[in-house]
Parts: sequence; structure tokens; C-alpha cells
Amino acid sequence: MIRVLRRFRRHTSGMIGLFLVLAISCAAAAAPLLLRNVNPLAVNLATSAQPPSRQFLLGTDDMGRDVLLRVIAGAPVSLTIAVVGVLFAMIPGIWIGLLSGFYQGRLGSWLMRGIDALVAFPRILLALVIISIAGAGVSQLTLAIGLSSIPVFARVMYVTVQSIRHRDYVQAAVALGAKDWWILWRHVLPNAFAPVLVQASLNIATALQIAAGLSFLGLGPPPPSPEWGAIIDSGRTLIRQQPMVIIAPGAAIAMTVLGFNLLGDGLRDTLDPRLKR
Amino acid sequence: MRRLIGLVAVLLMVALVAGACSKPKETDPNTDPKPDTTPKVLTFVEGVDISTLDPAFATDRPTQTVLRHLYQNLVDTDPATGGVKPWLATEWKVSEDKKQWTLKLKSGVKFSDGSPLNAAAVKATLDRLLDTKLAAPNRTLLSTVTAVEAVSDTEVRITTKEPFAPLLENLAHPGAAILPTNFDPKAPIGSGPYTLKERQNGVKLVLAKNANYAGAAPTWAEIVYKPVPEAAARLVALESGDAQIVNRLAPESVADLKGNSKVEALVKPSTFQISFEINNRMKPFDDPRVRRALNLAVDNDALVKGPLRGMGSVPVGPVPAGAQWPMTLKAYAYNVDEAKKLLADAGVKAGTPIEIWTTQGRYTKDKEMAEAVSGYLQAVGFAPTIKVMEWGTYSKAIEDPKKTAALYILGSSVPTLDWRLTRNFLSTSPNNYSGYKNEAVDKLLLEARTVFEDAPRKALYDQVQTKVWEDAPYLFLFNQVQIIGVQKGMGGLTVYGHEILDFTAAK
Repeated sequence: MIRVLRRFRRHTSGMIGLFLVLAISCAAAAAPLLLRNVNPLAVNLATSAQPPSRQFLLGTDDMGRDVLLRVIAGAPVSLTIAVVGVLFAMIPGIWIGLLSGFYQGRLGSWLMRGIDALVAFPRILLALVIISIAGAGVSQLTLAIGLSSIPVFARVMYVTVQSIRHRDYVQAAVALGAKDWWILWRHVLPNAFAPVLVQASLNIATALQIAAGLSFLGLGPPPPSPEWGAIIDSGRTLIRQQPMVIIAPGAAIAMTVLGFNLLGDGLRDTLDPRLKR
Repeated sequence: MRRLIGLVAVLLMVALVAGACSKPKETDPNTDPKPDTTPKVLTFVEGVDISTLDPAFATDRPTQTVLRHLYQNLVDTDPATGGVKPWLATEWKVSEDKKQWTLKLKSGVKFSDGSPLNAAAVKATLDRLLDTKLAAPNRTLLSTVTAVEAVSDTEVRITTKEPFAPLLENLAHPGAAILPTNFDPKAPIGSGPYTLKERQNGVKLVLAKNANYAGAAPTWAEIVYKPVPEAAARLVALESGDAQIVNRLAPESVADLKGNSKVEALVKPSTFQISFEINNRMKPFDDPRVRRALNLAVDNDALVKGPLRGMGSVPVGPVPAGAQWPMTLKAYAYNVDEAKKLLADAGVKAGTPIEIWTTQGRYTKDKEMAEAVSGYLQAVGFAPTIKVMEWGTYSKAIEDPKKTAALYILGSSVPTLDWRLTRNFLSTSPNNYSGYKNEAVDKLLLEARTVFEDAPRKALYDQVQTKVWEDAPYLFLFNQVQIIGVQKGMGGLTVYGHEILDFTAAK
């Protein structure tokens, strides 16, 4: 563990990713505290669509709301949707992959064929279908992100478990007469977890993009929510007058996605012993 | 190999960037090599594609704009007064019992296929529209008509069940355009200045000059209609010269285009009034005090100056200027204290939920309006929630009398008062989605249909407008303006208040 950490500290881009992710997470966590005296949702038409100034560092949107405050207020919303969505996908995804990878047989192949069927659809299409059934909103968006991410985790877990299943230490445990659940819990899961962790980090990045995209299309939380994609949508008509309404949340999305991607790459490089030089 | 691919990719990127940065070749208008040899084509860009070529089914303004160039009506809407003026019918008279109208047709008018436009064609058109088997949405225009007869080749007699004063106004509606006896919506034939040349659904529609057109020859040999949903993309089409006229520019564009040497924005009045209709069936909004309070709680002036950038006006009555007989009443001035007092009087508690429905992109800044109104209503103690729906779903959902929405955005652009007011405020009208019911208003509206002289008829509508304004069945938001982008120097374009354009004389 310590060795892994030390290796990660030497991984520059991984560290940059970690720094970005931490910075944005801190901003998201501190958002309620930062905004306790101002309401980033309050409409004030007198200051509609103003360019950046000392009072409004990034200007205001159509409804006269401070863009900077809205982007900060949007951080917890957007991050929660992506992170909760991915965590939500990990649990069933990991179990499906674990069981079908370990047992193979009819159960395994049926489960994996089901997952294959889901993989056949592009993720954003899957999310669109789920939202058109469940309706638009934060929880529905999270659910859509989660359900559409399950196949990724199931696949990664399945492949990893398959390669571990025939390792000596698993075979030894079987020979010693250990129960299946014990083998799964003590030997298979811990050793198969690294790729899933990498996948989770990379997946949060895609989830964030999909969430922002769906919100942009009006399938996310209803107005006046400051979800980043929704802010971009509301600034669309102002692109010539007040481009900051689009640039600011766009930059926030880009930074977060970059952060999680670099972190994921870093984790992969340090956790995978095969890549060790 | 990999390096080779990398090199190619880099070269490609450089080429692309260079291509994007280089200026298009400037052409000097004075030395244009071939100024008048190609046919003159006018490209018009709208927000949506037209929905039909059959007048009986045309209910939206973009479609009616196209149909206006293909067909003609018996009478025309007068853009100056909102009333009617002669078109295919040159004169008309009403019988003693006021149930029979005799219209005299202009002679010598031909359809684009050369066949004559006579009384038989008029009869066939109106009978077709009245046919219940066709089930056309525009049938309601003629719902009181019981018979249409061709008296002679140039005379038509229309009989109504009861005296019906607004008949001519309804005949001026694009839905009552005159068609040949063998009309086929797939290959439409009309008597308008243009005929259909080509139609690709969702892509474009091309109209060419009608050789048999009786009136003054139109300026443009061809009119191309193109739908482009994004306002920003329409502006680009105008600026790049791809389009000569574009409709429905964003309010921001007007300031943007000031000082532009090539294109300009025309700002024209519109009979379109946008409101949040209030669900009058729902408690506590069945109480007129609450509805008045909603109107007082919203600062219409700030809405017009803020998100609309001044492109609109504050409503001073339920009928905006430019319609038939508008009335200037006392505007609901922004007054939070008065609104709170009215709400307290009506027993509305703080935190009363209020569900606001809106659609996106149908009306100018519709979603933004919902957000702004939600903010204002929060300030007087409501707990608003917003639901955004796509137009297809939305237009169905608001028809339901049991809808959970307290407020939903909708506009009305009908220029003639009978149709405008009975549609929205007669308690038995199928289009009265708000459920507004006032027996006095019902009585006045039905009485006005039997009054044939303008002055007493107007007096009845004045009473209706005053009562409706007081009852506040809607949260009146703003009167829209039409923002039309044109190439600089474009003149002769006729813009009707109900958002129909006529390009025939544009140049």
C-alpha cells in the first residue's frame, strides 16, 4: 500500500489530477458555507446579462444572477449526480461481474449476455431512454447515469475475475475446502478491485459529461437549478453578449473531467503491477 | 508508420485552422460579373418547418406565411385596422334577417393551372372545409354556416344558422383560402402569386412565380423557405448572406445589429400577447383576488427591460395594439405590498405550492419567463416549482382540465376579436384551457356575434375586455414584437400584426 502511494506521488499527471479533484471537491463541499449570505438562485432582473465587473466577477446571466456564484453553487449538484451515479452503478456492476466471472456456467453467461445487450446501446442513449420513462429531475438523472454505467463495471470485473480465478492462491483456497463466499471476499474481490477503482475514476468524468449534456438538453434538474449543463443552456442565447455564462460552467466541467481522467490514469499506472518498470 | 500518421494529422489540423482563419474572398458589388442573369431567389429562414400545405389544417403562423403566397382568400385582414378588406370578393351584402351573405367575386381570376376561380370553386372550398369527414381544425371558423350556394358564376351566397357578424373576419383567416374544385394537398393549386416548385420536409420549400397570377407581378422569381430552429444560427444565415430575410431573431440581436453595414433588424408590432394562463379551476386560484395578486406580484416592466432587452411592451389590456379593437386599461403595476394584502384577504398561506409549466423555444424567452415569475412569486410567499416540457407534450398536457399546473405559458395572436376572445374566454370554448367562467362575459360575447354595426359591437367587446382584465384569468406577461432580420435596404415587405409575412412586393 505504502509502495503504491509512493509510486503515485512520483506520477506527475496523476498528482495534478488528484489536486484538481480535491480542489473541486473542496469547493463543492464549501459551497453552502460560501453562499450562506447570498442566494445564487434569486432573480434580479435589474442586473440582467451584465458583463464582468468588480461587483460580478464573471458577470450575470439573463436573470441577473451572479455567474460565479451559480457555478460554485452548481459544483455540489453536478458532482453529486456524477459521483452518486457511479457509486450506484458500482454495486450491482461489481456483483454481476464477480458472480458471473467466478461461476461462469449458465448463470454467468446469461448475466453477461444481458450486460452485452446493454453495452450495445450508446451510454447517452440508454440514459435518454431512462429519463424519458422516469421524467426529468436530479434523482432521475442520477439513476440514469447509474443504470447506464452498470455494464462498464460488470465487464471490467468479469474480465479481471476470470483471470484471477485460475491463479494458484485461489486454487489453493479451493483445495483447502474454503467456502465460495470466503474465497470471493478474501481473495478474488481485493485482487480484482484495482481495475474497478481506475474505472470508477474515469467513469465519473464521463458521467459528469453525460449529466451536463442531458441537463443542457433540458433533461436534468428543472430551473432554477445551477447544474453546470443547465447554466450553459440558459446562457446559449447570450453567447455574443455575455459569453461568460457559457465559458465559466464549461471551464468548470472541463477541469473536473480532466481531473478525474488524470487521476484515473495515474491510478491505473500505479496500481497495475504489469505496467511497473 | 505512427509518426507518418501523426504528421498527416498535424498537417490536416494546420490546414483546417488556416482555412478557418482566412477571409472569404471579398466581392465588390459594383463589379459583380453577372448581376441579373440568374433568377432572383429570396431565401427566408424561419424557426420551424411548415406543417401542411392544406389551408384547412394550417393553424400556425409560419405555415400560414407560406400559404399566403400560394392561395388567396375572399377577404383579407387589413394590416392597418385589424379588420377586413376586399380581396377575391369585391363587395358583399347581408340579407334583411342577417342570415344570408351574398359576395360578388372579382372576375378573370385564374388558378395556377389556368382553370377559372369562380363561384363553384368557392362553394367547393367552403363545403370541403365544413365536411365533418375532413375533420379540419379550421372548421370552427365556419361552424355556424349551414349552406353555400353558387348563385351565378361570380356570386356566392352563404347562409348561417344565426346572425353571425364575424363571418367575414373568419373568411379572412388563412384557413378559408379559396381552392380549386379538385384540390389535392400533395400538388397544391392556388390563385396566389406563387406556386409550389419543390418541397423537402424539414429541409426546404421552393416557390416559383405563378404565370397565371392576376395581380402585379411579384419581385422575386423564387422564394426558398428554410427552417432553422436556433435563433443564433438564423442570425448567422442572415449575416453570411445565405438568407435575405430571417424571422424571430433573439431580442439581443437588435442591439448587436445596430451599426452593421449589411444587415438590419426590423422591429414590428405584433398582436401576440404572452401570458401565464392561470388554472381557474384550481384552489386558491379560483378567487379573482388571488389572480389579481399574481398580476401585481410580477414586475412586467423589469421583464421587458431585462430578458427581453426592451423588445416588447407591458400589457394594458387583454387585447394588444394592432388587433381589431384594443383597449387601454390600467396596467397591473408592480406592487408587492398590495399583492400580499390581497393574498392575505383571500386566506392564502405562506408556502402555498404553485406549479409552473413552461415549454422551451416556442415563445420568446419562455423558460426564462418561468424562472423570473417563479422568483417573483416566491417573494410574495408562494413555493413555486417549474416543469419544462417539450412543445408536443406540453400542448397536449395543458388541454387537460385536471392538470396540476397552476400557471402555464401560452400566447394568443388572433387579430380579430370574436375569435380571439371567444376562443380564450367563452366558458364553453374547447380552447378555454384556463377554465375561466364569467356568465356576463359569455353573454356579451354571444351577443356581439349578432350585432352588425361596428360601434355597438366594439362597445360590447370593450365591456368584455374590461371584465376579463378585472377578473385576471391570466397572469399577463408582455406583448411581443416581431424581430425580423433583413439585408439592408429591403423594402416592400408586408408584416401583419398576427406574424404573417408577405414577400410579394419585397425588394
